[in-house]
Amino acid sequence: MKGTFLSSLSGAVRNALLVVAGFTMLTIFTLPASATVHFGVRCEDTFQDNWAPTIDVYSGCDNFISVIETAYPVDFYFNLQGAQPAFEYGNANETCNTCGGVDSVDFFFMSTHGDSNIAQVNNAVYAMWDYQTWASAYQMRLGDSGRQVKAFATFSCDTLYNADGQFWHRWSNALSGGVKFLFGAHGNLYTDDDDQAMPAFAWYVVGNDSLGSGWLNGVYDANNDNQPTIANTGANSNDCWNRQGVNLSGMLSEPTLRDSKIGYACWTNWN
Amino acid sequence: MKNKNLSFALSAVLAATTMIASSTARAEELPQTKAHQQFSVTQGFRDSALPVLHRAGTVEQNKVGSTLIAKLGLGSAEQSSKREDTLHLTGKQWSLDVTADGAGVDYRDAAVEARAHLLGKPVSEKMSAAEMEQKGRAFIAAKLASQIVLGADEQLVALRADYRTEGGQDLKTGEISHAVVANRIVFGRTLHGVPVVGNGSKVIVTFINDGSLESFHYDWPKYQAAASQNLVDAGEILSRVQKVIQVRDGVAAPASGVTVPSSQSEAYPVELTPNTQLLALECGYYDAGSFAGHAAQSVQPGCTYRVISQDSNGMRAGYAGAVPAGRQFESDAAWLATQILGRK
Repeated sequence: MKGTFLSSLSGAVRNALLVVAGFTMLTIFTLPASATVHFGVRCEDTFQDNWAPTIDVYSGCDNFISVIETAYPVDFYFNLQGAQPAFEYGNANETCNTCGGVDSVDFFFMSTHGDSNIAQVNNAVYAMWDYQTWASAYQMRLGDSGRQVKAFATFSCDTLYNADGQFWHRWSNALSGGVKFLFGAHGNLYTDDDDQAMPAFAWYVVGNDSLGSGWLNGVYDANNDNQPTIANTGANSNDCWNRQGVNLSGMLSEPTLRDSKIGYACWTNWN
Repeated sequence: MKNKNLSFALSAVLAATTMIASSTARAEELPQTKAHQQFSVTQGFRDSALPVLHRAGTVEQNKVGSTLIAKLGLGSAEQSSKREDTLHLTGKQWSLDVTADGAGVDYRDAAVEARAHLLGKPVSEKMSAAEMEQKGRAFIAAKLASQIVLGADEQLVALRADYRTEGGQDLKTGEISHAVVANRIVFGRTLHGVPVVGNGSKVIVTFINDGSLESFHYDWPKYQAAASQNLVDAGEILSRVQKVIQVRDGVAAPASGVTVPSSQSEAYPVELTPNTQLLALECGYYDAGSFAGHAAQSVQPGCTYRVISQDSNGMRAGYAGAVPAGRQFESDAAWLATQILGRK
């Protein structure tokens, strides 16, 4: 199901993908933003020259997509080869749908290795396929350009770590762009045989249930040792907590908060 | 001056440590769970053979749903739909999912969940595991007695206590606040003293701080015993975990194999491959549960594992799963380890 990014696709498949992407872009620019939620998915389970351990996430990503596609379009499903520019604010790839850019969809889902303190630097990072390459939250400004991503969901360890009081330090650049939700973990997430966390969350999404508790419950129920986290911003404390309870429709209708409009950051963990 | 600076730095570190310690409510594996993990990694099983179990029969989904709706006093469902083969019932403020075999249920009360934030407490005042266990047992006895049925020589045992915590930062003042908002107890099951491991035979009950029930989630099948499997020892179990992890993380295991810890008190972590450690092993009957979507009817002796790989930069990867413990075991298409270990 997952497509290796354009370079290794056959010519026919690549052309077909570009046509589909063209239609998708047409759809994006001819429908009101609230009409259809567009999803994009990027996952990686092997890494160049084994620079990071293999993880079995493709089945979970496949299962996530299978559920989402019962209700919404998934514009792309790519791996993370050469993907770093797709997360970098100001880079053309970041808003490019055919490049798998994070700001080219409403809801971006990813699974790869993550960390919050790589090499003793307080930075949330995601492992790319390329040797020793990370996408860094410092380089992100999510939701400020292109289709303006509203949700950034990552089945990755540790990137939403918050027990050290450094959450805002790690995420202020990315959140200041206006993204409404971060889904992730404050500690370990375990990959398992049955990959139930990702499709379980997807059912909450398409069922228009609360996104925050959907992530927390779906990931926890798959493995009670998982340490999921949901994080978001608000104009103030009350606004922040109210936003954390919204469903997919609510996510679209909540006003976007950027820069000085953000007065509060809030997060919830299991375990 | 140097001493003063050192003293200041130390104070800052201690203050930060105190802040971290006071703001986190860590999951708590209960003493019996830790003891079982220690026994599993040093001894494997008490028995030399155990029967394979079969998840017996199914209970009609709608019947389970209507029984629970009546028992919980929810009125009637406003909507009924299917999420794959799971029955999904919803009311004004609640949802109830029933798995295809009727053995698994997930219930959520959105109105109670919405109150949880306002009832937040300082982490230091979190509900104790003992209180959660008492409340959980009382709830199961009052509301789930017709579902959580114990057979002869079966027990409901408390395994772990978990907490949902919130944090927030006022960006104008920089002030960070923390609260614990929900409390969760996980129960498991033993059959003739042997635990069921995996997501099968679990009851998970969540309370907010005023004691209201926010959610419950269970998988509780009836089991029938079939033919026995002779079991391998702890050394072979660890060797199987190592082999499976080697395939999963792509890192070659050392030729020397795994050493079985000699002391239960110093059992963990166990080095499996370079930078990869076993954090917990639990042996019993392995049941993935009906929420897995492909629950095997056959429940074989096995051991669940929790493994962490950590590289020199500190990046971690978590692997969970189970290995079969029978000297001869049945191949199961939904159980990766039986495929890996069954290869000739």
